[in-house]
Amino acid sequence: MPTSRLIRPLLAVGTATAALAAGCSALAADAGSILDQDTVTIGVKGDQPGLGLEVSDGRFEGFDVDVAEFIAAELGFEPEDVEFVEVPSAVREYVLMERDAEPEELEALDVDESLLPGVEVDMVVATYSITAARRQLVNFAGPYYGAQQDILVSAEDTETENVRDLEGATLCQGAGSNSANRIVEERGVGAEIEETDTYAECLDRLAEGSIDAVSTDNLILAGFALEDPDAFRMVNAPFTAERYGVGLRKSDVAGCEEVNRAITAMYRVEEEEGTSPAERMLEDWFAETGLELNTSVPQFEGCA
Amino acid sequence: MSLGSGPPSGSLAGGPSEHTPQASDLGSAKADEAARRAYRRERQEGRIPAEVGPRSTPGRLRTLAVLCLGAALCMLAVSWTYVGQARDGLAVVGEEEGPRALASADLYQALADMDTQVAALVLVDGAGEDSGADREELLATYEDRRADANAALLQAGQLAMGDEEAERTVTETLDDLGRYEQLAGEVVLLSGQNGDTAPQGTFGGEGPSEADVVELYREAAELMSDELLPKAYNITLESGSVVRAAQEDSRAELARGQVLVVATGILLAATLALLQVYMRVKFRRRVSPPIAGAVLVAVLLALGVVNSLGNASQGLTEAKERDFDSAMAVAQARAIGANAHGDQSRFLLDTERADTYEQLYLEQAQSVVFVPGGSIQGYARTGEAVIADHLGEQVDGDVLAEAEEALEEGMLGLLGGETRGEEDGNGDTGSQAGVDAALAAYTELLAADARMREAAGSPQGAVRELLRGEDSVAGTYARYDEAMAEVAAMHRESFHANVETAAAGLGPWNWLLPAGTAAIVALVLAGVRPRLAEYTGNR
Repeated sequence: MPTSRLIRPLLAVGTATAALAAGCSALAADAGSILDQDTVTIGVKGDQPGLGLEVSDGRFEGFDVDVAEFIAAELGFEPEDVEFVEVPSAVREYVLMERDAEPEELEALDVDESLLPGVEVDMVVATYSITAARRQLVNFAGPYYGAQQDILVSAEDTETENVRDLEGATLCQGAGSNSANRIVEERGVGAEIEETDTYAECLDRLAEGSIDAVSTDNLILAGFALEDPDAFRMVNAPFTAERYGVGLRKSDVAGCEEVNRAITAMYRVEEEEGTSPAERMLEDWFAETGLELNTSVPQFEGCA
Repeated sequence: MSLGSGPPSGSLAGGPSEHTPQASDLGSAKADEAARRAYRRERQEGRIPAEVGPRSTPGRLRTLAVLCLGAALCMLAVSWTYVGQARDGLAVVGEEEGPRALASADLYQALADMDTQVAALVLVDGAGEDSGADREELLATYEDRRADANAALLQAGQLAMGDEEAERTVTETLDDLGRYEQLAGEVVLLSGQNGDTAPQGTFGGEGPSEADVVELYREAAELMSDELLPKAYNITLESGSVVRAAQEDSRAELARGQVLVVATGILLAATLALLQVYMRVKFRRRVSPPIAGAVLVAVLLALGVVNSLGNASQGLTEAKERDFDSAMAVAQARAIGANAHGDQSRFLLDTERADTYEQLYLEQAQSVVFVPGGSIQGYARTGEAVIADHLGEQVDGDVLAEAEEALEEGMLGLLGGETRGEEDGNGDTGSQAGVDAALAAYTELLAADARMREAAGSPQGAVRELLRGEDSVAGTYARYDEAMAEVAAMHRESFHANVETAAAGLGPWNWLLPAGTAAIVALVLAGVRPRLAEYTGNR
């Protein structure tokens, strides 16, 4: 009889439609925001004391690490679902672009593959300064702190008071950094520049006396100086603004906006404590340096 | 044996047979009885399912017809709901949240401008007669901007409702604004006293010194730059994200709607096809024209609604991505430009921090139109070259080559990035002409700025370059800001127009949906009734 013969095809059509609907809506979903994930992998520095320092395998500590933990918690991740890996400066864009970019674009970045962490990184909190050029490749939430460039001199040097006093001095900067150029080019101060592989080496030379000053972001300087406080002095005459952002994938606008909300919460003064989480974190790591710390929420870059 | 053929069967559930056995049918009666018993046994043991639905042809015909009508109403309901959703989505983004976010973008601008007026006023008071600006005018502008700031904050507050974090930021900003106004008032008063030949006897025989005024102003300026402006900017960003989320939700909703309309459409077509086939088998007609017509109408209706929903979703997305985002970018560029303009005044006013203000000005200028350039002079030179090249004018090759290396994909920055729309073919000629005009005005501003910094050695001369005349920094800035305001207005209008067009596309369904469904109902009835009549008439 037609009725029973038709029920089967009808059921088939019905199931097919349902399957199609499910499939279509799955395809229509976005390329995956950090908010939809169960775990998160955060890239930090491993060699900058006070900011991001690897203390044992897979364990890091520093201001950047504290900020990253706070943000992950605000985003709803449990501590056991958060993984930290070391991400050197040169590969910060690469790791964030790895998942979504075309192979040619990744090739064009020309990175040293031995520096890659080998896992998929979702977020980078690694003294990552926001620049217009980097904004084309990745999305920046925040900044979460506005550092400023300052000068570190030997404790015996009591004469250097501001950037113009560096005229004729010898400066040291880490490879790939821009800090010394800021002084020589932007300020027009005639100083000599020596480059080393890392800022740690610069500090060694400063302690030896073979260079006169090290200039870079004041948080970085503070972290190094704390290792040997009596040997160095922070001039405390800041002259530029370095905005540290949270690097995210370019496609993850929703995640970027949520991280911005987390950063706003980080700077909100809590009534019972009288301070904000950001203030406490900054005090924890940098109070001893005598550095003037910014405790108001910075102006955000905006998520593209 | 085909069920349903033959006369309506009497009860099979037991009871003596209804006719007295005749000699001729004794055997068949026994067989019938045996068959009935067997059937009852099987029924009791559940091996034969009860018959589904009505067992008579008219009954089945009616049932099928009712199923079709049900499916038609189902499709009507789903379509109606989602067309309504589409309209709502467009209304929320296009008429409520979109315009509010754009209005809140004026907040930063208004605040930065307030501080610029105060800085200019202090400069004017200090420079004496020949400064080229009127104190009263500056105060009047300050008042206007304060009103603008309050209005923008109100819009932002309404958008923030329901979001606790955002609401708190707005409240904090209101508090900070109050504190700033108080400080600014004190600065204006003190500055005025410094400007007049202060009568002896005030403050223990000495009037306020210029240093005192600058010190007090610094307090106000820091409140503005460290607390107010960042919060204002973040509020605007948050407003933009509210709009983005609303648009995303709407898009997802409409995609779901499309799938559901397709599903109910298929269901409707299937039930109609079932009806058609049943009638063909039962009544041996090839095709019933009304039912075929109903299938056609159903398919057209479903396709039409799906298409409409798709268009609405796309219209909303385009309005958001092309017009709203551009309007926000331009608004942010204006805002940052306003603050950079303030830094120009502060550069002259607060000489101790001149370096910092110069650096801040450069960074803000770079976020408006980014060209690589370590120093202000380098930036001005490269910037003028890049912009002139974009506008099709003659340019120094070396300078340009340097810049092009770093700017492979075109100009960057909030305003610079807007030129890319033209190269990608996305922008319309109207707004591109506006962007070009703004860039040309920006070049003039850079030139005026260079003149002012050169004259920084002589305070009065510098203040003149800042404030007096059309080619002064203030004059060129005013023209630049006007050009930017026009571009912003163009984008706002385009946003509004595109949203309206998308909404208009949904209009016809108000009557098309009920009409189409009524047509389907009528056609089904028209197809079924003659068959029903034919059948019962045949009894």
